[in-house]
Amino acid sequence: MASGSISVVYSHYLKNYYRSRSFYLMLFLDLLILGLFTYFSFKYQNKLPAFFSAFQGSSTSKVVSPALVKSAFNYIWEFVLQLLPVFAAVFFGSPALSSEIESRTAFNVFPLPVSRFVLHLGKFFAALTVTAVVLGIFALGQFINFLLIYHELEVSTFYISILLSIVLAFSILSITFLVSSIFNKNLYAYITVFLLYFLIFNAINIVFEFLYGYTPIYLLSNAASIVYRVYINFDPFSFTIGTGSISPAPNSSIILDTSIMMLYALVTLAFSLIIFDRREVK
Amino acid sequence: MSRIAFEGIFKSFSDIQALSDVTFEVSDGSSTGILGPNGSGKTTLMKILTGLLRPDSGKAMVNDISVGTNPKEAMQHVGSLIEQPEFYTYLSGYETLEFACRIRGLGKQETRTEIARVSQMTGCYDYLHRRTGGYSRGMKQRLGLSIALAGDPEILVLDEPTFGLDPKGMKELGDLILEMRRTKTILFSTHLLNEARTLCDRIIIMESGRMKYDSKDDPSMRILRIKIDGRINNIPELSIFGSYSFTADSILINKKDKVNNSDIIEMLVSNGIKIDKVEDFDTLSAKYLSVVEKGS
Repeated sequence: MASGSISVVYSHYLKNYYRSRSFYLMLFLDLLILGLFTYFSFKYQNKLPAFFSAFQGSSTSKVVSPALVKSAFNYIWEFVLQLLPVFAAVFFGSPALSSEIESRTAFNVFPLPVSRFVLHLGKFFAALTVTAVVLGIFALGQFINFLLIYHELEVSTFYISILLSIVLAFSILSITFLVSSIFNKNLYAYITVFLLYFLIFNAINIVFEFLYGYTPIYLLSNAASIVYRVYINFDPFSFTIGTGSISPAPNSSIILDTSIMMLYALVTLAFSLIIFDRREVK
Repeated sequence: MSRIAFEGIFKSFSDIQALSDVTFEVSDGSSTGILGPNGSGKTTLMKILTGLLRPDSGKAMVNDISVGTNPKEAMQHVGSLIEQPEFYTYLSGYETLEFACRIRGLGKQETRTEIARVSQMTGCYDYLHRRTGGYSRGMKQRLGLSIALAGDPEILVLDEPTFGLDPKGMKELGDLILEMRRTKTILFSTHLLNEARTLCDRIIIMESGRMKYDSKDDPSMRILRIKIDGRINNIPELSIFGSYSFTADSILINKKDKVNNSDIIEMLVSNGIKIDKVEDFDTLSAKYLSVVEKGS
């Protein structure tokens, strides 16, 4: 019965998500970025080797390997892909629970004979699905661009990167659901998630980097960089991660960062389930 | 067996005591109205019964199932309409009702039949396939009532169910509640004295979070005056309902226990008598005002 209920709740909320203005706005942004990246990919594809020569501090005569150029191409695309879950999660996750109170839908949904856990999880997986759709469209664009420009398929790292971006989406959605379970107003939830991810995490990062010369790898924003570091292990926002390495991130980094993202996901999801279950509707 | 019980309910919000020691039972098959001014605790009580709020102490029970400890099982027996309902604006009324039916365990075919049944009853059938974002207040109220009725729960909890309806809608809804009284236990709150008078067997008046009056304990409330439209020529036998007398245009009935006003009205109507007005002999409004004024 619980699995039956969760599928009913999931399909109900999924319908509401994919018909919403938020989804179409996110889709529009997704396609806009995809269009711009496609344009720039075709226009500047030949300049990547020269760029990397300069980056390596070597003479122009030094040959940049084709493999590195392809990695760089994917690295740039994935750099955007790791930001998409953050925006999508804020759009879909921040109002997810607070809107039940603000829009007063809780008055006819909560008294139904269904547990709050099921309502929460059904809505969470519906939000994760629409986030995955947004990511999937961008990733498909990246895949097609790569195929058209380099006439080959580079699938294994690509799949790992997409999978990591889904893990990141899972993680950031859990955080937004936690924030949303606390507030009664959608706006507060939107602002809090943005501040947390783009200001607080970065502020902590900068303080540790400057004062202690140490990167707090346990911050979600740092762990999220693994989405593009699977191609080139370099994080432009950190003084210590990769530090200019042009090789892919090692498996140990992938496992560590995935574990950090999953830890954020599971802990915040558990807390949001508990808070939502105990939530009163005044 | 389908009944509601409140046992020593206390509830406060910050420094406001919303409910103080509320204890009463609603017996099987009865219709109980809760009357009271704004802030008297009516809606808070209904929210506790439907699991939207938790009491500070005491408990709400549905068919001997505690709402606090086993809300899902308790709510299997309850259909509710709390405050002014809102819905997911991108979904249609049909999809909203479908969700409620499926949550109550109905299969796909049963759901279709049930949606047709309840939407016909509440009069929202015609606009069921429109998105709820474009519904008027009255349409939302009818859809909310349809959700309460979906799955045919034996207990109905209705918080100001006629709010936002035009007079025709109020009349239709009143008739529907009278109809449902035959098979369901109903607890509803209202500001409207006439509504409570017509639709309830029992009236509870609340003020400042306390129960101030219960018609169950007041024999004067058992006298019903029915004003007839025209002159009375042929009165049917009413002694099964209690002792009665009549004047040229009114019938007075001192009701027996467990006699519903609607049963009396139905008998009169089926005997061709047109009813102009129904009121309790000890007018409820006077009682209401005396209780509320005493409280303040």
